[in-house]
Amino acid sequence: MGVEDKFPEVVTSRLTDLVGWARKNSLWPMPLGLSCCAIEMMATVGPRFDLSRFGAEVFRFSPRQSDVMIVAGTLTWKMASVARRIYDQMPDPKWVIAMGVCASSGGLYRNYAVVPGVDRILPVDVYTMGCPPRPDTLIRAVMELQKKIDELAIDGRRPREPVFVQ
Amino acid sequence: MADVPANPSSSSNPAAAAPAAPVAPPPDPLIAALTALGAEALPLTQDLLPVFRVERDAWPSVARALRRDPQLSFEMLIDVAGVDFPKRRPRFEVVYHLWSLTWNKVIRVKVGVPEEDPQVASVIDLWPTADWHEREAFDMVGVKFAGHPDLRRILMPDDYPWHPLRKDFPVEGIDNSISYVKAGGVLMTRELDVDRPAGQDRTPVDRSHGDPAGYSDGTPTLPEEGRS
Ligand code: SF4
Repeated sequence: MGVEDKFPEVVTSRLTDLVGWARKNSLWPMPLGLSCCAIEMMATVGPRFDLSRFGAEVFRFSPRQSDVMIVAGTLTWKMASVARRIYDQMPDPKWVIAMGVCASSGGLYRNYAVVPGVDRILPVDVYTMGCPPRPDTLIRAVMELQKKIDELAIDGRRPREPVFVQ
Repeated sequence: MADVPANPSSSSNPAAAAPAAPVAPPPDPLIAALTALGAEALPLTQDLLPVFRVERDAWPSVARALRRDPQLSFEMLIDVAGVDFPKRRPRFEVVYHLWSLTWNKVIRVKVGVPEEDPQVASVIDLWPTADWHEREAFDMVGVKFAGHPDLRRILMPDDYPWHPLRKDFPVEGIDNSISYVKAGGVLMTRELDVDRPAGQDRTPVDRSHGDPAGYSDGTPTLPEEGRS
């Protein structure tokens, strides 16, 4: 009883869903590899774990071409303004994954040099546990992010509740 | 060797024999040469490196001799470290490790630096590697190196006001975000601490009241049953 009955080759959808579907399956990460966690992030894109199965394998080293910033490692206060500037250069809509306990909370560092969680300077969408998180965990974080993008309104306003991945 | 009496019965010099050092260090030409330069040999430490203390004013000439004298020829400066001993006078010490590739010898030289005038001569003209080492010692402990061409901070942000490896500096820092905020950065509150309506971005922290709740010691932010 609709267009799809009459034209079997046609699929109808809401534009919001369509845009969300396209967005979530072509996430281009901006790798902010700051320390040891970056090694696991590299492993995640490698053939064994293969992040490209989820459409997020195109790591862009230019913030202007990326959607999701993966903060992989220990952010220091000296680096903080650089990280924020990179984030500001990313086009909307954009997301942030805090990979590892260092990025999520400062981790084992509580001292004068380390930012106690990148959420002091960036709006984080997905927090990831582990020191370092296994590549599976990062993939899980990307999948959780995809769920969030599904709920995204077409104007790019995002649901702001962060997700915690264990 | 010369001052050990060959014949005990002669005892021509009883005053020197009586208060002899309990363990006489082996006669080392290196120690003799350095002592002649004005360095004071300190007792051996666990790692068996010869350790010397040099007065701050004598350090430039001693360093020059260590580097240039063919009998010493310490070609390599392994590291420069600033150390803080809050109870000692002078308070700071700059520790140099030197390696003579010619003689395969490693020594450690300590130069005391008083707190009132934390300054010591740079050795960058003798060992160019001292450049970054001295910048680090300056950054972390606050010892200035006179004659260094570019004595900037190396690890902390340029406008950072403290020297964080001084012993009276709190480990967790004082106002860590100071450089970030000065550069125009806006701090955000932690998601768990605030009940923020969905759809809004995070609110900037009001820093006029110090650290936001939950960042200082002993302030539980979660109810007791929420823990563990
Ligand atoms: S969470 Fe662990 S592995 Fe990751 S950056 Fe921190 S210390 Fe390194």
